[in-house]
Amino acid sequence: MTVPSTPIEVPLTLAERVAATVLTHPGVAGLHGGVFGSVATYLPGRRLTGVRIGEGDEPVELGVVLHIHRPIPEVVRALRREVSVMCGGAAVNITVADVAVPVALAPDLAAVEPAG
Amino acid sequence: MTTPATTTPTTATPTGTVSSPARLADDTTQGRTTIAASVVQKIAGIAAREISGVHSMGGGVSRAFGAIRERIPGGGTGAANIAGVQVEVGEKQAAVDLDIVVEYGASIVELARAVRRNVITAVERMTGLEVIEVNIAVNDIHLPTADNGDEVQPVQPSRVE
Repeated sequence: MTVPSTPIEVPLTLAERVAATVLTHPGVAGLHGGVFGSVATYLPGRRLTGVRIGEGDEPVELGVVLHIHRPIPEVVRALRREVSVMCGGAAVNITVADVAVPVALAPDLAAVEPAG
Repeated sequence: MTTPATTTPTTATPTGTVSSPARLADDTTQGRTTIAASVVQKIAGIAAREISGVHSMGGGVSRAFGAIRERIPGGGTGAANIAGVQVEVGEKQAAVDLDIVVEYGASIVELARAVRRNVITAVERMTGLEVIEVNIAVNDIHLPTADNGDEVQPVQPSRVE
């Protein structure tokens, strides 16, 4: 998207870049607003659910839905590393709000799509 | 709003388990990881169903509520897979309660042991949480005749034509 620049000055663009980066990870099924739907960034014209860039020393918050085929800690660690680098070494709080279950694994669960 | 409901701020929990992997150890300085209860519920539910001999999940009441809840839009995140699975999730540990219906002919003790082992393995591997207990309640037994009597004849076949 945009050329990487100093993150703090363009927080909205940073949130979008973080979201795009997170979604490219193969273990991630989608973004999620967290347990209360509070993890979100308010952009002009739309609301970016699942990413919140904290101000100052506040941690970056991520809400994700992961695929069930690989261990969560491994995915979370990779996400944290990537996002932390993008955000200038900030702490990254990650909420795994749900998992996406493939149809083959549990046909009766397939109707359940991750909310948000 | 920084702390979702599933997060319990604990102060230096000295887990005595040496065997548990050093997971989520980087949490304090680099950020926390919160795993929602529904994640653990789904993983535990799938792991329990993988064991052959488990016919379905849920007790009488939870199955009845599950059937109702499935029809309510937004009524719980996926009532189907959380039927019969209750979990408590902390920052490092999880506890699982299961209600299962077994197939007739399965050794319930062996079955429960296998379910427990599989659930613990799946949840620990997938979430990195330490499973401290898996309580299994066998609520019903499923007879082959209950759905389709292809193995056992009906009790009263008509003797005359």
